[in-house]
Amino acid sequence: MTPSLSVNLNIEKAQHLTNSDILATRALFYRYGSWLLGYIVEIVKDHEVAEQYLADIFKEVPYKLNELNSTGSDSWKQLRMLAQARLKTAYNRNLSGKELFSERLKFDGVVSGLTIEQQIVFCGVYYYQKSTAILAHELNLTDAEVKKILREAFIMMKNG
Amino acid sequence: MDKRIHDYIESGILEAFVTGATSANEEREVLQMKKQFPEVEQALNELEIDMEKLAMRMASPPPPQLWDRIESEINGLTVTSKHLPQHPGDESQRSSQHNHKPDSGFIEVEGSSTHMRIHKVWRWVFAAVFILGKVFLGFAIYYYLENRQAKENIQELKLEIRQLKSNR
Repeated sequence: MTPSLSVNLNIEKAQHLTNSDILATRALFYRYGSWLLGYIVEIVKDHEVAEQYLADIFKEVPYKLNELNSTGSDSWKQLRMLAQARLKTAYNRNLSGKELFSERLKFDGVVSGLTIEQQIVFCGVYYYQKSTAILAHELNLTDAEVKKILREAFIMMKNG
Repeated sequence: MDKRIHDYIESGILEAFVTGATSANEEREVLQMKKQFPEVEQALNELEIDMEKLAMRMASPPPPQLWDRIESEINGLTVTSKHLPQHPGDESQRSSQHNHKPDSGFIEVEGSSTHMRIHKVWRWVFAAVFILGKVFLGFAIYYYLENRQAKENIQELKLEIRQLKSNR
């Protein structure tokens, strides 16, 4: 999408914004802004670039409030998905399982307590938004095995 | 707990769900199970809390002025859009008022920036204007002093004439 087209689309959408949309967006920013910035910094490894991504994401949030505030939805998960969509082209390269082996070291501070296999699976789903099915294919494992590894990773991080 | 539910929770599908790594079918299945079984709902809630704790551990506070910047950009866009015509009739009225062609393909956008960028050639123009300004100022001062001197001379001459007249 060209920048000018993007601006036009935003102008079209902006007509439907109300003050309460802005207030709801501000509430989300103050609740999740620091979490999302920390998450983006982990991926892009540059604070200024991460701040720009954060600003861009929150400029889109007023138009996605229905999804973010719908009953039963996990706002934090939805915001991460928005961030992933933004980062996809620049940072979320289509890494294979083997490439993830070295990429996981980028997130060493967060996942250092996990086994290598758990690190690959956790970083694959959490930072690179890979489905367990894709990871299973790349790692020559079954989908059920990947899900088990992911669960173990969660337990390790919770207890670690 | 029902063994089937226990195995379902132990399978890791809930972890995949909270990280967004499930397929659309699995997602529907998890949401269905969440509705049907309180144990699944509780396990999901706990996982969401775990995810939030992880996020809190990695949190990095944004600079204080960042929200103001975002808000002004959102508001700027909204305010601009309020000036867009709502009805086809408004368009013709607006175009006649502002002498703006309706099908020119441009939208007036009010930039929030207080700065402007101009071509580098203007720096020579500004330098020339500055130098000319100084030259004119020099001339002005010179002619002012000349004029004052001339006036003083005239006064002196008048005085001399008066003295000569009175001596006669």
